[in-house]
Amino acid sequence: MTENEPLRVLVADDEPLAAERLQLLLAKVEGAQLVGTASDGDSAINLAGALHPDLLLLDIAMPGLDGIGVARALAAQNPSPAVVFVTAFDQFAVAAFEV
Amino acid sequence: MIPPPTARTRFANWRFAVKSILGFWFFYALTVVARAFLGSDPWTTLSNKLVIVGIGIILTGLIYIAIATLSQGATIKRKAIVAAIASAIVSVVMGGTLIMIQDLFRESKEEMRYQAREGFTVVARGQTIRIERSAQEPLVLTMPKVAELDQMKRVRYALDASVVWLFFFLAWSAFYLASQAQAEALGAQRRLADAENAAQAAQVRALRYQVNPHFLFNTLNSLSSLVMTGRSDRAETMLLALSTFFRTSLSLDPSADVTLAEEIDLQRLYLDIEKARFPDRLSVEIEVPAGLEQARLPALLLQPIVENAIKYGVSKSRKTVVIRIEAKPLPDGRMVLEVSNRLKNGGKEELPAATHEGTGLGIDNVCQRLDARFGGRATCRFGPMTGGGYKVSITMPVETSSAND
Repeated sequence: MTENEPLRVLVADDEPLAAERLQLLLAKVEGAQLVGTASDGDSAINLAGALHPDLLLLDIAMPGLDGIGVARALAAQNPSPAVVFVTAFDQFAVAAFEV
Repeated sequence: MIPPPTARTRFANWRFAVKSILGFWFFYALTVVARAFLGSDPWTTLSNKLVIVGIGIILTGLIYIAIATLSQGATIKRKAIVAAIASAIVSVVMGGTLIMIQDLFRESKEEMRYQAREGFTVVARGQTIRIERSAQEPLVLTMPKVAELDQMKRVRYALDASVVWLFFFLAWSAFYLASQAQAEALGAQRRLADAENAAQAAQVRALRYQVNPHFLFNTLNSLSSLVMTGRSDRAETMLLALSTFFRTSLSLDPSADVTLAEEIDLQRLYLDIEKARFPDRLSVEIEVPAGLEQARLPALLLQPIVENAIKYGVSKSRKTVVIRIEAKPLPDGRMVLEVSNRLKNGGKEELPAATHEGTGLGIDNVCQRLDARFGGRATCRFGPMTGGGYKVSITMPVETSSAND
């Protein structure tokens, strides 16, 4: 990644309003480019495999495979995107650090 | 100056003791009066007996003091022993005193006449005994005064009298101790009842539903999105629902009931707000017959159940989940309240397994509140449904007006 290339970001959140909010916030960040939005864990893994984003904004509480499971699965891949967990749930924070 | 607490508690029941002592001796005096007026010289008999009553009151008071000081707070057994010993001592004192002052008593003019078998008439009056013989002068004998008797005889008379009085003092002691024991038992019962009431009130307070902070965070995030994308109408609707929900739930008296209609309105508000988070995944069905709308139940009773249905049903599902709240009257006068969640198009996959975990805590709270409010008249059941989904079923009495009104 060079100075001129944008940061490619994938958003994964099951709640439409929350995903929308992340997209809007991301649009305000210079040098960041939204490459896709996943609405559950499984599609997040599929999209990450297909799009090779640099960064994944990952919700933890999702139906099916949750954010923690997604991060574990992606960590085994090469290359794996940087993951930023997005959550309102404090109790997940500790589990997130363990991934 | 405040008297020392020991003295205050030791003789705390002195009023009752005085009343019972006076009552006992008054009863004795009544029988004595009745006896005196059956005889020919009631006033002398009465004045002599009043002296006895006076001494008796003082001595019974001493028994009370002995019980109060020597067995304060002790077991009933110890109190009984103290009372028995005190009664024995006091009755000896009573017998002794009466023998000592016997000669101070005024001599009654009452005569007792007996016909002896030998044909004589014996007339006893006070200290004199007159034997009337038909042909001769009557023989008049003057009995010695008590003071003139020898020591041993006086002691024997005193002991004879003591035995009679002993039972009187024992009777008072038994009455007093029984009354005390009953008062203490009643007090203990009342304290127990008070403690139970306080514990129940504390339990109701503790079990009061606390609005889940995650709900507030999630809603504020949703609101943030709506504002950022310029959908201010929807944001306004949601803010209004949120403020109504919080105002209502925070201002509710935790120990008071609400009507089923009020509870359902609140749940509808809550579900409306959650609908903004899960527009495609949450569908709500509510069915409450008009006849049950005024039934009273603890406020926010359904909240943990509905919250669980969202947390473990809707948010864990990719498909549309139907949350259904239904009230049905039962033939026995009670009603059943059901909250269920199921996939809209049926199917067991992912929903039942997801709804099992974590539901326990919220449902336990609901069941405890029901138990605190209705006792054994309410039941609580929950589990997966056969066709898929999860159901909580509450049976409770239909009460249309509460004691709090």
